[in-house]
Amino acid sequence: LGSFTETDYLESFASDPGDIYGASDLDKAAQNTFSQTRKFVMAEYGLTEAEAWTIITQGVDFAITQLVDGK
Amino acid sequence: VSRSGFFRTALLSSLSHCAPRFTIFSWGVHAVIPKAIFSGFDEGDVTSPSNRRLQGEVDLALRPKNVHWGYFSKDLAPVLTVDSGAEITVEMATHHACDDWDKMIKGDTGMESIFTWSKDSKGEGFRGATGKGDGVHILTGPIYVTGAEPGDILKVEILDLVPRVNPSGKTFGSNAAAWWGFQSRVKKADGTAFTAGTFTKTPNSNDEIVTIVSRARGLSNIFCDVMWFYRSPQSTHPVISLAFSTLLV
Repeated sequence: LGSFTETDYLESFASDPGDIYGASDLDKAAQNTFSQTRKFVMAEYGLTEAEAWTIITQGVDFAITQLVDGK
Repeated sequence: VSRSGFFRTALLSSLSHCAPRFTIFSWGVHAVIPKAIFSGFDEGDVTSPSNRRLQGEVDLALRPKNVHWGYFSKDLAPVLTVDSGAEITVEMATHHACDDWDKMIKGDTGMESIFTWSKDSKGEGFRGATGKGDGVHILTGPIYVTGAEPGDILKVEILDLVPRVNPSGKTFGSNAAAWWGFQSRVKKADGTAFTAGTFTKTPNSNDEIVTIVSRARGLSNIFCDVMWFYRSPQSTHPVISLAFSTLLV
């Protein structure tokens, strides 16, 4: 959860990376995860954004882990 | 892997595992209504030869009189009454069939009888809770089970699901990537907001992608093949442009 709340939490919380524990947010993590998946699918396979949306509706499931304690 | 090759391969592999979950076909359902699980009920005289479906008979065909569109209501009269334990075969339709009229409605008497809506003719006369086209899902029924009373729990077993075929013998389905998905909360790749018609105050823009697929049979499985996909257009109400004020009041 902490890892996905920010695209790069080490950069977002450069002065104290431990702040990510207090900043972890399920909604932000879910949105970022979708955004990163779309970016990967578009870049890796050269798909349009619309194609990426369709692929994700059909072929991608997201799971939530590490809700208790950061790794 | 070529771009289109990947697109196709990825959809095939995912659909072969979870086709019914996201891709919507029109189905016929063959269901059994078992003996009521509450006591004090007599099974009664049940006459449902198990080979009826094989003979092409259905208990409820897709016809306007057998469906209601876009709402539930306890006040609807039953369109079929069965005894507890009866096996019945019911036809069902998805509103997504409209995503490709030629492939999923045209030439199919049952589908056309429901979906047809022009300024001259409206197959299903009452669409949606207000009857003005604001409903979504097409529901076949209600079906009344003899002896059931308010508060009872009914158990229904789905014995078989058979995809509806169009007059050319093929089955098609539709997938939507639209505003009701989570992606509408995320900025698009170019950083602009996801648009969803009036829901995001962007009435002339709608980031809704529809994919039409055909059902195909592989060597060892059933899968879906992508036919085409398109950005959902702004729909046109068949009558509203002619009588805008009266219909919206």
